[in-house]
Amino acid sequence: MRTKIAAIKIEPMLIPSKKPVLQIIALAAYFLFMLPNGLSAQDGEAIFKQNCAACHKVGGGRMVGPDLMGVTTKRSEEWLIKWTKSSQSLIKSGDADAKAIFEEFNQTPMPDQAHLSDADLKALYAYVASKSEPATAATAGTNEPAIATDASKNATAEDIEYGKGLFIGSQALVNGGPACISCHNVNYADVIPGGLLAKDLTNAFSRLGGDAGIHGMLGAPPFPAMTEAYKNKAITDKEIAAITAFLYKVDSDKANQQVASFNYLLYGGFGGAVMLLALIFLIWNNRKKYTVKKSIYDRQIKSI
Amino acid sequence: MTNFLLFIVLPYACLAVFLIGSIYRYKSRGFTVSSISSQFLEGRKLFWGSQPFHWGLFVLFFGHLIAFLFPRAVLAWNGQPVRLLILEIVAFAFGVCALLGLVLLVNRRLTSRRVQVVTSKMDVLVFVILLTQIISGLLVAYHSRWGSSWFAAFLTPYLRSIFVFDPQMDAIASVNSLSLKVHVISAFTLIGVIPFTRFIHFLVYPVDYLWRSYQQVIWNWNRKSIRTSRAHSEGHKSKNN
Repeated sequence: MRTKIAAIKIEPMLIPSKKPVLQIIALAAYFLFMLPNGLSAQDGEAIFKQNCAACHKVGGGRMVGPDLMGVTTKRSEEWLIKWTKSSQSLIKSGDADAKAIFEEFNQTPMPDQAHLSDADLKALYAYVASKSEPATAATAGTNEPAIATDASKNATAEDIEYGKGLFIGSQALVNGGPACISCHNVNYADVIPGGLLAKDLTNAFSRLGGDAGIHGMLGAPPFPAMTEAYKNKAITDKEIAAITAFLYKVDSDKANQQVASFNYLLYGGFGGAVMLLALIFLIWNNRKKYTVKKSIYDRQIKSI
Repeated sequence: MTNFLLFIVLPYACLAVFLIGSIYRYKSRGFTVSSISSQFLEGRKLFWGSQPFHWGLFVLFFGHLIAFLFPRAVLAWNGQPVRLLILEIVAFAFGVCALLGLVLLVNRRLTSRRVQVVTSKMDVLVFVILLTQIISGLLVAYHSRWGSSWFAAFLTPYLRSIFVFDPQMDAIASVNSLSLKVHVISAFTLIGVIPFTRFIHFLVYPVDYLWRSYQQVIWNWNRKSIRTSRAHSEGHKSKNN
C-alpha cells in the first residue's frame, strides 16, 4: 500500500520532465524494491509480538510451536514465506520438511498468517535472525508470550457458561460468525452432540497447548473452510477467552462425562419418514386408482 | 488441478449448458419440455414412488435454497440446540422419504414392461445422478452432521463466489468429507444435464394447478357420428366402448 501511495504523489511532479515514463518506472522500482528492505527490525519485533509470540519463542524452548532460534539459516526465505502464509498448503504440496514438522508437533496446524505481506515477513525474519545471533540470544529467553497461559484455569463459572453459550450458539458471536457446534463435537453432558465435519474438540485444550494455541487457532484459523466461515466475522478476544475457558472445562471434566448416545438423526429421520408416508396415505387414499376404462379393459383382455 | 476442474470449471460449464440448453430446448422443441409422464401406462406403483420422492425433493430443494439465500437466518434459527435438532431431523426425514420414493421408482421401471417400452438412456442417467445425489446427501447429513449450520457458514460463500464470478474453492476443496464433495459435484452435474433429460419439467411446473378450479371432461358429441366420420383419418370402431 505504502509504495503505491508514494508513487501516485510523486507522479504529477514528474510530468514536466523530458522522459517522465522512464523516471516513473525508475521511482516505482525504487519504492518497490528499496522500501521493504528499508523496514527496520523494529517492525519485525512488533509483528513477532503481535502474531507469533503466543506460540513461539526465539531461544528459550518450544511452546505450542517450535523454538525459532536459527530458523532463518535452517530454511530458505522462500520456504519460510510459504510456510508462514499457509503451512497446510505447503504440507499438502508434499514438502517433506513441512510434513516432518507437522508430525513432530502432534499435527497441530499453525494458523495461517496470510494477512502479512512479503515485506512484513522479511522484516519478521530479519528480527528472528537478529534475535538468533549469539550476542542477543542470551536475553531472548525472557520473551514473554502475549497471552497469559493460565487465564482459563482461573476462569469463573460465568466465563465458562458464556463460553458454552458461544460454543452451542445460544449466545451469538458479536460479529456474526457461526457457532462452534456447527462443525465440532465435544463430549460434555450439558450440550447436544456437536457437528462431525471437523475435529472433535473434547481434548482440544491440551492438544493445542492451552490458551495460547486456541487463541492462535481462533484468531487466524489455518483451515480454509474455517477461514471462510469467519471471514469478516472475526471472533473477539473476549469471546475467544470464554470459549477457551469452556474448552478447558470440557477437557478437564472429560473423564467423568456420561454422554447419552441417542441417535437423534437416525431414529428421528426414519420415524419422520414413516410419518410422512402415513400422511400421504391419509390424504390421497381416496384417489382414483385406475384409469377410467380399467374395468372395461380388463373384461376385454379376459375375453381374448 | 483436479479441484480446479471439479469446483470451478465444472460448475460454470454446467450452469452455462443449463442456461443455454434449456432456452434452446424450449424454443426449438417446446413440446418436449415436460416430465414425459408414464402415468397412463402404470399408475399404482408410480403413486408410492412419485409422492414420497417429490415431496422429499421439494422440501430439500427449498431448504438448500433458503440456506443459500438467507444464511444468517438459518444460523440464527440453529442458535437454539432444540431448533437445530428439529431442522436436521425434519430434513433427514424428507431425505429418507426421497430415497425411498426413488428406489420404488427404479423398481417400477425395472418391473413394469409398459414403462420399459418408453424408457430412454437418459432416464437411466437421471436415476444414476439422483441416486448419487440423495445417497451422498444422506451420508453427509449423518456422518458430517449439522450440515444446515456449516452449509450456511462456508458453502454459501462458495456458491455465492461462483455466482459473482469470483470463484473461491479453497474451503470446499479442503473439506475432509468425500460424500460432501460428491454431493456438490453431482449437484452441478444434475444442473448440467437438465436440458437433455426429463429434469427439465421442474422449470415448467404447472403452479396454477394448485389453485385453478376442477376441470370436468365430458364427451359431448354424438358418439355414432364420430365412429362413422370420414372427416379425419380412416375411422374405425373402438374396441372397448
